Amino acid sequence: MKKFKRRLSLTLRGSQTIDESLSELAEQMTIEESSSKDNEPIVKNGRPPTSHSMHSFLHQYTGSFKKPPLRRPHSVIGGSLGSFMAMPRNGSRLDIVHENLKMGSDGESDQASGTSSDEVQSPTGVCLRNRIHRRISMEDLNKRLSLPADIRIPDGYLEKLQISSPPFDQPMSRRSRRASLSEIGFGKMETYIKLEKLGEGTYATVYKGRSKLTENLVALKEIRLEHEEGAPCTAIREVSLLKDLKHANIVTLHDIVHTDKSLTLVFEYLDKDLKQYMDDCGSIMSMHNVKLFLYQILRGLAYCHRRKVLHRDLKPQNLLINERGELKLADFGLARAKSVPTKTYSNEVVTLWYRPPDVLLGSSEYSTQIDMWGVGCIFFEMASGRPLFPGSTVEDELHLIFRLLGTPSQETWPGVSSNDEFKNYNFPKYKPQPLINHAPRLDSEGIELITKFLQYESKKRAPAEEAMKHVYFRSLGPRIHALPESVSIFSLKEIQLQKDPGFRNSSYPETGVFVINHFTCRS
Amino acid sequence: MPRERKERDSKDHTKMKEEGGSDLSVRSRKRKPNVPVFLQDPDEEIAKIDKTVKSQDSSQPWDDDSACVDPCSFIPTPNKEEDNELEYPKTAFQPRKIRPPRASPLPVLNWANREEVWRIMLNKEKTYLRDEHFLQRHPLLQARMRAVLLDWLMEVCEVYKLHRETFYLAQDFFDRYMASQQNIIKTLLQLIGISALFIASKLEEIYPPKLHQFAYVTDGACSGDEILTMELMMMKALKWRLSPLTIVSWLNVYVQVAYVNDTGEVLMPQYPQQVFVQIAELLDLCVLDVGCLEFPYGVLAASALYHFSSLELMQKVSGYQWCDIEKCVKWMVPFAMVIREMGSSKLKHFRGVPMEDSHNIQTHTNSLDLLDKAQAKKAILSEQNRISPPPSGVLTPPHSSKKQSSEQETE
Repeated sequence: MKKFKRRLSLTLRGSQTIDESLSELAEQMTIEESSSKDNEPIVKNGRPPTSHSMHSFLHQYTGSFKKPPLRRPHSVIGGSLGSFMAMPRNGSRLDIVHENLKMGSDGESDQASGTSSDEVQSPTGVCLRNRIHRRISMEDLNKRLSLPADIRIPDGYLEKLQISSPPFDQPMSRRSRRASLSEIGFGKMETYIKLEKLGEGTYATVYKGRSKLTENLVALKEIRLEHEEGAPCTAIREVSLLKDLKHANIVTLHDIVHTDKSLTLVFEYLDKDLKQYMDDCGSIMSMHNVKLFLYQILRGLAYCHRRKVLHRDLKPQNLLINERGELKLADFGLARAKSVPTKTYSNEVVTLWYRPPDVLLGSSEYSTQIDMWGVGCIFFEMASGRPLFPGSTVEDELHLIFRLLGTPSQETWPGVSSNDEFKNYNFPKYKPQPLINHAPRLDSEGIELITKFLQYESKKRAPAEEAMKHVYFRSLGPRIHALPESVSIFSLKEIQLQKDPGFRNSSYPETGVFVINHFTCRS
Repeated sequence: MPRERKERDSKDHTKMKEEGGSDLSVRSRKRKPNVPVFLQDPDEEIAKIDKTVKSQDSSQPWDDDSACVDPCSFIPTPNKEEDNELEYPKTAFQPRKIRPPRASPLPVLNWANREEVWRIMLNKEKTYLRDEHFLQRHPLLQARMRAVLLDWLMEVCEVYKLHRETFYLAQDFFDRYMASQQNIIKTLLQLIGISALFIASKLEEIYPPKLHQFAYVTDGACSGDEILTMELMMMKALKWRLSPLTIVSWLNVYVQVAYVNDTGEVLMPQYPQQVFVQIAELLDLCVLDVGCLEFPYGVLAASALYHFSSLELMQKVSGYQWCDIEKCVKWMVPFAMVIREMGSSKLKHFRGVPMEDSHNIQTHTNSLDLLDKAQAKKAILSEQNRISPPPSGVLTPPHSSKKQSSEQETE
């Protein structure tokens, strides 16, 4: 039997003696570092940070001192930390990446303490210069750090920056920018205030919160890390995919904060999801609003599919809406990057009511069409006020689908007769029902469009990009198709949300603009 | 308890090695027999490249005006400032779309415009960058150590039947993480490597191995807690950018386009599995050499495909011109020679993996020995080039040098 279990440190031995000596010396220093750390007194003054970001920040910041000193001749912060590094005992700590990677509070306290003392000393170390600095304005800072215009900088930050920063006109290195961002508060949990709990799941709890920096509302998705397998794959996929997605109809991920016990994703806040919206309307939506919401779903989805991202969990609860009527795709925990050619994926995806029949019958080789069936179900639900296929089991779900759309045959769905699952179920032979009878408020164009989504053969389902051009959306005007990706459709003045017939607020004004009175949200 | 677990794992290990082909039905697969895919004679490799260059000079198939972008220009230093560090939306409209530097080889797609999908794929190549000189940041490490680590990760992938994509994701995370750190010591390498594989498995596999299985294969060198801590450190250092278009993903696209038939079934696999495996094995060898970091992933995959096909096919499926990949093709010559000397491996079958997916499972060969042979060949080839420096523009070694080369190989 081949031995694949291996401790690589023996195999990684270098061929040169000098390297071995250096390696052993480094390990010896590491051991000394560990022992010296144990003897360090615990810092009780002040509050040690609970976040790993401090360690990462300090480690990355320290790395910049490797550069030639001439590149930053007047850096006061650099000078101070440089003198700190000159001390042999502490210097070795910062130079070596510890083999033991568990970050105890003692280590963090030491580093935080060092940082604090250096910051306190920095004003006294100011070098007088002949050149007079240009006054740094709030606008300058926002522009250089690519911050939003409405951000509120912590008190005293501008004054400190005025004193200690390198010449402001010179281009900023990546490390300087990251250090500045960390000082302002990004990546730290203290920056956000929890206001109320919105929901809880297996891995995460979601809170409504507020950012101290921008005063904007945020949604805090706190993912527990006590799981024995570390960060859940849903979190890893959601973050890594959302990092590459920037669109007006996709929820924005603002920040990521992690502590020992949790990983918190900071999203933009939207008032409600589509299910709540439909409930508030008494399940009777304006058909104009149905059209606007459907268009935005397709718009966000076309963007994802162009980037070969499958959402795989489209349902009303995962579509967020703000008071302006902007709709955004959310919850990418089941999303996945799609490969060309396609390959085997899991068939245990998409909430049952919105799962397409090919996946229900065990198909694991799907593509973007997996999302389009869900769009059809959501379209129906908005138009009729009730879910289209509310099954309780896989078999029940298939039964409901076949009863409405007709039991598939080899003619209507090539290949279905050789599907073992389909044969085993032995469904009765239903005839298709006219869809108009179940969604009477849809006009003929709407019926035609929804039929394009609810196709048994997956490759015949209309793609999102194609569906956006359907005649059903003609009444929205031609300009909506030419908008840039990051611009909301509501930036066009002809696009307005209408009053929903079933809305319960009796004091609703007679103007055409829909206003939600219950929530206050400043964008 | 440890004994029981070890025995159980040993038993599973034995089962993994069994051939499971008989009880799996073989799906029919469309093939396009007239696509030329042939193995080159290793001794004629250099001559072939020279012929190709001459052919280019004589016929000049592309316009003089078309600028062939040097792939190296896409690999800036790691300290380059990044534009979109934060995720706040920008109020300004997006700039006008730039014409893609490579023509899209994709067939008509039904879910999106093929030119746009191609442009997005190219953009991804520019945003996920590596540092070919990252070893300079770690003076205590040697290139050999990276090769040993990646070779071992391939072995782990084969044992656990992980996909090639999973391995190449882990390789990407490892290289990018190392480029973001300084003064890593060798005792940390295995922890970084196994943690990269841990992350990649959770991203890519439907049923990833458990944490304790990752700790187990390190023979006690890395604990589960250490892997969990490193997991978060790595994802943070990589800024959670974990969706690169890997080398093997590019290869999948190229080979698929090469074999796509007239019905436009771009999504169902169309290529012979054996062809894919041969090219993948060449890439598995090349990726062990730290020199591969000089080239973008798309260039590496196109160069590997070139060594098993032709210039025309490479251009058709990748959109590259010869000058785009010439440097990489020549760099890859010693590795291709070694792979051909080894002979093509049989397509392995893995118990529990459908037959049509078996080519996608990462395999492990005696790669370190092959790497040594390739580097020895590289030394010989560079010696030849030094003895007789080529005239500018065309590599034409004299006959006497060629004769010397064959004589040395005989010895």
